Amino acid sequence: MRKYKISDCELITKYKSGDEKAFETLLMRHKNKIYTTIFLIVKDAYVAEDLLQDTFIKAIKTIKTGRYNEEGKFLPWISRIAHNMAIDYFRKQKRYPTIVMEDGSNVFNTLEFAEEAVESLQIKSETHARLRQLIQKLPEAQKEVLMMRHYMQMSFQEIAEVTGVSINTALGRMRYALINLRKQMNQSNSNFTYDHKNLSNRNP
Amino acid sequence: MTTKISATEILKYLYKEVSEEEKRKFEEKLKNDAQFQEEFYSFLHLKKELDGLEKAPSEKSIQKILDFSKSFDLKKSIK
Repeated sequence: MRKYKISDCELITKYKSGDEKAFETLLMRHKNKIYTTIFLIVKDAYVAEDLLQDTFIKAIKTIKTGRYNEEGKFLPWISRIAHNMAIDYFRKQKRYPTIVMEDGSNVFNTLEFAEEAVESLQIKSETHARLRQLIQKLPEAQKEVLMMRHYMQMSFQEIAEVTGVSINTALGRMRYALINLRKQMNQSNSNFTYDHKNLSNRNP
Repeated sequence: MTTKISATEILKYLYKEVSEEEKRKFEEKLKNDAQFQEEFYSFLHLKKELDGLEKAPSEKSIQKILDFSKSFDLKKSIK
Protein backbone atom coordinates (compact mmCIF):
# COMPACT_ATOMS: atom_id res chain seq x y z
CA MET A 1 0.00 0.00 0.00
CA ARG A 2 1.22 3.52 -0.79
CA LYS A 3 2.84 5.43 2.07
CA TYR A 4 1.89 9.08 2.50
CA LYS A 5 3.59 11.81 4.53
CA ILE A 6 0.41 12.31 6.52
CA SER A 7 -1.66 9.22 7.20
CA ASP A 8 -5.42 9.06 6.63
CA CYS A 9 -5.83 8.73 10.37
CA GLU A 10 -4.01 12.02 11.00
CA LEU A 11 -5.99 13.76 8.28
CA ILE A 12 -9.26 12.63 9.84
CA THR A 13 -8.16 13.89 13.24
CA LYS A 14 -7.36 17.28 11.70
CA TYR A 15 -10.65 17.28 9.81
CA LYS A 16 -12.59 16.52 12.98
CA SER A 17 -11.09 19.65 14.50
CA GLY A 18 -12.26 21.77 11.56
CA ASP A 19 -9.38 21.56 9.07
CA GLU A 20 -11.15 21.50 5.69
CA LYS A 21 -7.80 21.29 3.86
CA ALA A 22 -7.20 17.94 5.54
CA PHE A 23 -10.47 16.68 4.12
CA GLU A 24 -9.55 17.97 0.67
CA THR A 25 -6.27 16.01 0.84
CA LEU A 26 -8.16 12.88 1.85
CA LEU A 27 -10.66 13.35 -0.97
CA MET A 28 -8.00 13.95 -3.61
CA ARG A 29 -6.05 10.95 -2.35
CA HIS A 30 -8.88 8.45 -2.70
CA LYS A 31 -11.42 9.87 -5.15
CA ASN A 32 -10.23 7.83 -8.16
CA LYS A 33 -10.25 4.48 -6.40
CA ILE A 34 -13.72 5.07 -4.97
CA TYR A 35 -15.08 6.40 -8.23
CA THR A 36 -13.66 3.40 -10.11
CA THR A 37 -15.24 0.99 -7.62
CA ILE A 38 -18.64 2.58 -8.14
CA PHE A 39 -18.23 2.86 -11.88
CA LEU A 40 -17.35 -0.82 -12.27
CA ILE A 41 -20.61 -1.72 -10.56
CA VAL A 42 -23.07 0.75 -12.10
CA LYS A 43 -21.36 1.08 -15.50
CA ASP A 44 -22.62 4.62 -15.99
CA ALA A 45 -20.37 7.64 -15.53
CA TYR A 46 -23.19 10.01 -14.55
CA VAL A 47 -24.67 7.66 -11.97
CA ALA A 48 -21.17 6.98 -10.63
CA GLU A 49 -20.60 10.73 -10.17
CA ASP A 50 -23.85 11.02 -8.19
CA LEU A 51 -23.07 8.01 -6.04
CA LEU A 52 -19.56 9.30 -5.39
CA GLN A 53 -21.06 12.50 -4.01
CA ASP A 54 -23.57 10.55 -1.90
CA THR A 55 -20.77 8.37 -0.56
CA PHE A 56 -18.66 11.32 0.56
CA ILE A 57 -21.68 13.16 1.97
CA LYS A 58 -22.39 10.13 4.14
CA ALA A 59 -18.73 10.00 5.19
CA ILE A 60 -18.66 13.73 5.99
CA LYS A 61 -21.77 13.43 8.18
CA THR A 62 -20.37 10.38 9.96
CA ILE A 63 -17.00 11.98 10.66
CA LYS A 64 -18.31 15.42 11.61
CA THR A 65 -20.88 14.01 14.00
CA GLY A 66 -18.20 11.94 15.74
CA ARG A 67 -19.51 8.55 14.66
CA TYR A 68 -16.42 7.50 12.70
CA ASN A 69 -14.48 4.88 14.60
CA GLU A 70 -12.40 2.99 12.06
CA GLU A 71 -9.27 5.03 12.44
CA GLY A 72 -6.41 4.03 10.19
CA LYS A 73 -8.65 2.23 7.73
CA PHE A 74 -10.39 5.04 5.95
CA LEU A 75 -10.24 3.67 2.40
CA PRO A 76 -11.74 0.22 3.12
CA TRP A 77 -14.42 1.93 5.24
CA ILE A 78 -15.48 4.50 2.63
CA SER A 79 -15.13 1.94 -0.15
CA ARG A 80 -17.66 -0.25 1.62
CA ILE A 81 -20.09 2.69 1.78
CA ALA A 82 -19.53 3.23 -1.95
CA HIS A 83 -19.90 -0.45 -2.72
CA ASN A 84 -23.18 -0.71 -0.77
CA MET A 85 -24.60 2.40 -2.43
CA ALA A 86 -23.69 1.10 -5.87
CA ILE A 87 -25.19 -2.33 -5.13
CA ASP A 88 -28.39 -0.69 -3.83
CA TYR A 89 -28.60 1.37 -6.99
CA PHE A 90 -27.94 -1.68 -9.13
CA ARG A 91 -30.67 -3.67 -7.36
CA LYS A 92 -33.19 -0.85 -7.82
CA GLN A 93 -32.37 -0.72 -11.50
CA LYS A 94 -33.00 -4.43 -11.80
CA ARG A 95 -36.41 -4.05 -10.17
CA TYR A 96 -37.40 -1.16 -12.42
CA PRO A 97 -36.22 -2.02 -15.92
CA THR A 98 -34.67 0.83 -17.88
CA ILE A 99 -32.93 1.07 -21.20
CA VAL A 100 -29.44 -0.26 -20.63
CA MET A 101 -26.70 -0.01 -23.21
CA GLU A 102 -25.00 -3.28 -23.95
CA ASP A 103 -21.64 -1.62 -24.36
CA GLY A 104 -21.04 1.42 -22.17
CA SER A 105 -17.89 2.32 -24.05
CA ASN A 106 -19.18 5.80 -24.88
CA VAL A 107 -18.87 6.81 -21.24
CA PHE A 108 -15.48 5.22 -20.79
CA ASN A 109 -13.40 7.73 -22.64
CA THR A 110 -12.93 10.34 -19.98
CA LEU A 111 -9.40 9.38 -19.00
CA GLU A 112 -6.82 12.06 -19.41
CA PHE A 113 -3.57 11.15 -21.14
CA ALA A 114 -2.44 14.60 -22.19
CA GLU A 115 1.03 13.72 -23.43
CA GLU A 116 0.44 10.40 -25.12
CA ALA A 117 0.27 9.78 -28.84
CA VAL A 118 -3.21 9.44 -30.27
CA GLU A 119 -2.61 5.89 -31.50
CA SER A 120 -1.28 4.68 -28.17
CA LEU A 121 -4.20 6.41 -26.46
CA GLN A 122 -6.63 4.61 -28.72
CA ILE A 123 -5.05 1.20 -28.11
CA LYS A 124 -5.00 1.84 -24.36
CA SER A 125 -8.59 2.99 -24.39
CA GLU A 126 -9.67 -0.11 -26.35
CA THR A 127 -7.75 -2.38 -24.00
CA HIS A 128 -9.32 -0.73 -20.96
CA ALA A 129 -12.80 -0.94 -22.44
CA ARG A 130 -12.31 -4.65 -23.15
CA LEU A 131 -10.89 -5.28 -19.69
CA ARG A 132 -13.87 -3.55 -18.08
CA GLN A 133 -16.23 -5.70 -20.10
CA LEU A 134 -14.32 -8.82 -19.08
CA ILE A 135 -14.49 -7.85 -15.40
CA GLN A 136 -18.26 -7.58 -15.73
CA LYS A 137 -18.38 -11.12 -17.11
CA LEU A 138 -16.49 -12.67 -14.18
CA PRO A 139 -18.47 -14.87 -11.77
CA GLU A 140 -19.90 -12.64 -9.02
CA ALA A 141 -17.70 -14.03 -6.23
CA GLN A 142 -14.53 -13.48 -8.24
CA LYS A 143 -15.56 -9.98 -9.32
CA GLU A 144 -16.33 -9.08 -5.71
CA VAL A 145 -12.89 -10.13 -4.44
CA LEU A 146 -11.12 -8.43 -7.34
CA MET A 147 -12.86 -5.14 -6.67
CA MET A 148 -12.44 -5.32 -2.92
CA ARG A 149 -8.73 -6.07 -3.16
CA HIS A 150 -7.75 -3.98 -6.11
CA TYR A 151 -9.92 -0.88 -5.87
CA MET A 152 -11.17 -0.87 -2.29
CA GLN A 153 -7.71 -1.72 -0.90
CA MET A 154 -9.07 -4.30 1.51
CA SER A 155 -6.61 -6.98 2.61
CA PHE A 156 -7.36 -10.62 1.78
CA GLN A 157 -8.03 -11.17 5.47
CA GLU A 158 -10.56 -8.32 5.56
CA ILE A 159 -12.23 -9.64 2.41
CA ALA A 160 -12.45 -13.08 3.98
CA GLU A 161 -14.16 -11.60 7.06
CA VAL A 162 -16.59 -9.43 5.11
CA THR A 163 -17.58 -12.19 2.68
CA GLY A 164 -17.64 -14.95 5.30
CA VAL A 165 -15.05 -17.24 3.68
CA SER A 166 -11.54 -18.38 4.62
CA ILE A 167 -8.54 -16.35 3.53
CA ASN A 168 -7.51 -19.20 1.24
CA THR A 169 -10.88 -19.08 -0.48
CA ALA A 170 -10.57 -15.31 -0.92
CA LEU A 171 -7.08 -15.78 -2.39
CA GLY A 172 -8.34 -18.60 -4.58
CA ARG A 173 -11.14 -16.44 -5.96
CA MET A 174 -8.70 -13.64 -6.72
CA ARG A 175 -6.40 -16.11 -8.40
CA TYR A 176 -9.20 -17.44 -10.62
CA ALA A 177 -10.38 -13.90 -11.37
CA LEU A 178 -6.93 -12.91 -12.63
CA ILE A 179 -6.41 -16.17 -14.52
CA ASN A 180 -9.81 -15.80 -16.17
CA LEU A 181 -9.11 -12.19 -17.09
CA ARG A 182 -5.71 -13.09 -18.50
CA LYS A 183 -7.16 -15.94 -20.54
CA GLN A 184 -9.97 -13.78 -21.87
CA MET A 185 -7.60 -10.89 -22.61
CA ASN A 186 -5.32 -13.22 -24.59
CA GLN A 187 -8.27 -14.58 -26.58
CA SER A 188 -9.61 -11.11 -27.08
CA ASN A 189 -6.17 -9.88 -28.24
CA SER A 190 -5.95 -12.67 -30.82
CA ASN A 191 -9.41 -11.86 -32.14
CA PHE A 192 -8.56 -8.15 -32.13
CA THR A 193 -5.36 -8.71 -34.14
CA TYR A 194 -7.21 -11.06 -36.49
CA ASP A 195 -10.00 -8.51 -37.05
CA HIS A 196 -7.52 -5.73 -37.73
CA LYS A 197 -5.55 -7.90 -40.18
CA ASN A 198 -8.74 -8.86 -42.00
CA LEU A 199 -9.83 -5.25 -42.17
CA SER A 200 -6.50 -4.10 -43.55
CA ASN A 201 -6.50 -6.97 -46.07
CA ARG A 202 -9.86 -5.89 -47.36
CA ASN A 203 -8.59 -2.41 -48.13
CA PRO A 204 -6.56 -2.09 -51.35
CA MET B 1 1.24 -24.92 -15.25
CA THR B 2 0.76 -22.73 -12.19
CA THR B 3 0.47 -24.43 -8.88
CA LYS B 4 -2.08 -23.02 -6.49
CA ILE B 5 0.68 -22.28 -3.98
CA SER B 6 2.82 -20.21 -6.34
CA ALA B 7 -0.15 -18.17 -7.57
CA THR B 8 -1.15 -17.44 -3.97
CA GLU B 9 2.42 -16.44 -3.15
CA ILE B 10 2.47 -14.12 -6.15
CA LEU B 11 -0.83 -12.50 -5.21
CA LYS B 12 0.25 -11.88 -1.63
CA TYR B 13 3.55 -10.42 -2.85
CA LEU B 14 1.95 -8.23 -5.52
CA TYR B 15 -0.52 -6.83 -3.02
CA LYS B 16 2.18 -6.37 -0.38
CA GLU B 17 0.72 -8.80 2.12
CA VAL B 18 3.97 -10.55 2.97
CA SER B 19 6.35 -10.27 5.88
CA GLU B 20 9.97 -9.18 5.30
CA GLU B 21 11.06 -12.82 5.54
CA GLU B 22 8.42 -13.99 3.03
CA LYS B 23 9.39 -11.12 0.74
CA ARG B 24 13.06 -12.11 0.83
CA LYS B 25 12.24 -15.78 0.10
CA PHE B 26 9.90 -14.78 -2.72
CA GLU B 27 12.50 -12.57 -4.39
CA GLU B 28 15.09 -15.31 -4.07
CA LYS B 29 12.74 -17.77 -5.76
CA LEU B 30 11.94 -15.22 -8.45
CA LYS B 31 15.62 -14.85 -9.31
CA ASN B 32 16.17 -18.56 -9.75
CA ASP B 33 12.98 -19.97 -11.21
CA ALA B 34 12.22 -19.12 -14.83
CA GLN B 35 8.73 -20.61 -14.80
CA PHE B 36 7.90 -18.70 -11.65
CA GLN B 37 9.21 -15.51 -13.29
CA GLU B 38 6.97 -16.03 -16.28
CA GLU B 39 3.97 -16.48 -14.02
CA PHE B 40 4.92 -13.51 -11.87
CA TYR B 41 5.33 -11.08 -14.77
CA SER B 42 2.09 -12.22 -16.31
CA PHE B 43 0.23 -11.41 -13.07
CA LEU B 44 2.20 -8.17 -12.66
CA HIS B 45 1.25 -7.08 -16.18
CA LEU B 46 -2.41 -7.76 -15.51
CA LYS B 47 -2.24 -5.88 -12.22
CA LYS B 48 -0.82 -2.88 -14.06
CA GLU B 49 -3.64 -3.09 -16.58
CA LEU B 50 -6.13 -3.08 -13.71
CA ASP B 51 -4.34 -0.05 -12.21
CA GLY B 52 -4.78 1.67 -15.55
CA LEU B 53 -8.54 1.23 -15.39
CA GLU B 54 -8.71 3.73 -12.60
CA LYS B 55 -10.93 6.61 -13.61
CA ALA B 56 -11.22 10.12 -12.30
CA PRO B 57 -14.49 11.82 -11.39
CA SER B 58 -15.25 15.30 -12.72
CA GLU B 59 -13.98 18.44 -11.03
CA LYS B 60 -17.61 19.48 -10.62
CA SER B 61 -18.37 16.49 -8.40
CA ILE B 62 -15.27 17.10 -6.31
CA GLN B 63 -16.19 20.75 -5.85
CA LYS B 64 -19.73 19.81 -4.77
CA ILE B 65 -18.34 17.46 -2.13
CA LEU B 66 -15.93 20.10 -0.84
CA ASP B 67 -18.73 22.69 -0.74
CA PHE B 68 -20.97 20.31 1.16
CA SER B 69 -18.26 19.66 3.72
CA LYS B 70 -17.67 23.39 4.27
CA SER B 71 -21.36 24.15 4.60
CA PHE B 72 -22.28 21.15 6.74
CA ASP B 73 -23.67 22.60 9.92
CA LEU B 74 -23.09 20.27 12.82
CA LYS B 75 -25.53 22.06 15.12
CA LYS B 76 -28.34 21.92 12.56
CA SER B 77 -27.71 18.25 11.90
CA ILE B 78 -28.03 17.40 15.58
CA LYS B 79 -31.37 19.25 15.99
